[in-house]
Amino acid sequence: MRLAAALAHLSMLVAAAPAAADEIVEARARVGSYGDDDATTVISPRANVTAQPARGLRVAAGWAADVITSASVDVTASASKAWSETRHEAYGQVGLRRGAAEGTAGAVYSTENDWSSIGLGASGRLELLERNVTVSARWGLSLEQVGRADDPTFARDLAVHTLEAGLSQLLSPRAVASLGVSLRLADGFQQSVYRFVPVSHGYQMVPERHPGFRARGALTARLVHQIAGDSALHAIARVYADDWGIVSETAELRLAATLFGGLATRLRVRAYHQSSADFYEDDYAEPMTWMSHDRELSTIFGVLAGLKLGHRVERLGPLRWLEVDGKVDVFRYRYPRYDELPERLGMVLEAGLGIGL
Amino acid sequence: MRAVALAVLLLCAAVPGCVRVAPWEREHLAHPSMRLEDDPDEAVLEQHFLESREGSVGGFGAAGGGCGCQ
Repeated sequence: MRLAAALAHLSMLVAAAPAAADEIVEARARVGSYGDDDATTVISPRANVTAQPARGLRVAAGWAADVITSASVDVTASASKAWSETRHEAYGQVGLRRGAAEGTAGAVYSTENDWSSIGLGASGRLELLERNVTVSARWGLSLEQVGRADDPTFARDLAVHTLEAGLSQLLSPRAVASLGVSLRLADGFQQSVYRFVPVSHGYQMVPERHPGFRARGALTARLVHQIAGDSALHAIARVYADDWGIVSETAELRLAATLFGGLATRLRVRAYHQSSADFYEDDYAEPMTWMSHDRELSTIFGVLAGLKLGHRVERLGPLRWLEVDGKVDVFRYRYPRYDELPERLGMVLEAGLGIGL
Repeated sequence: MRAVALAVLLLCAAVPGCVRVAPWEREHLAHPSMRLEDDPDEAVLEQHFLESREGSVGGFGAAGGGCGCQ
């Protein structure tokens, strides 16, 4: 399931690359650090190179990793001890652009001690009406194998199909809007092999059991409007629903501005809410067909505030350009139906570097 | 829900016919602060972290672009 984001990233890589014919190689590296007061830290480095061997043709390859350390109540409540693991991911993509049309195809492979997956993806994008309108579509499939760290004989399959479509439209010389819709179908083993569910006030702990199929849909609208000089306001709204009973709403406001000396600045606030899955209970009176103690399936209220700073320098020594950026996000989640952790505070730090040759 | 979906479809169908921004009017749209798409590596990390903390996914679409400036 985590491969879906990587598949989306593949098409963005090539699509986001500058179209200049004489710019043949660019390299980017980024590291993210996640930490929260639930004793979980994640360090996520990633790097990729994009080259243009011929006009309109782009190839990209990259690597990413997650180094996770956790003693979260999510696992300690399941009678497991603190754990640490590393996930590695390698990906590659080819993109072809001809006039107003662009297509990409790529593959991703990911492995860790109790999970492996391979993903395939393809996307297309077309600019219409003198580039006033952009339409796009993306397909992805990831085939995953779920294992268990202490049991080499345990293996279960999970297939995730993703379909996305998007439309962006210029509204005025100072405004642009977009709509994005996605459908994700997961078929296979979806519960945690490590999580147990309390029954009768914890008198009995039974393995978590999730349905084998999940259909998830989301719709996002985004409006960007220049408000003064070099600054723009981004308003983003998203609604989501799935057949496990979760409905969520997300609202986000961003202020992007270029300050003195070309310093790109972005301030943002984000609010999030979701309802619980139909079968989620913090404590079950008796064993049920489907049972979950996954707090990500419980009711959640979340807020996030963040700042990002970036700078781009053109023609620096042998480099055509150099970009650096850093960002910090601070978040707080409340879980009114998860007694072990009523709230969670945390922070994400990121630093990025890009060069063009 | 069906009414909302129908309204969205009608809006999508109607707006491209009503609004045209000429190429020479896109100076402000080309500014980096107007970009619809985030940095690709930042976006994938963001979605990666959010998917591990929340029960919802997707909806970010695949359109991007929009300023027609490239």
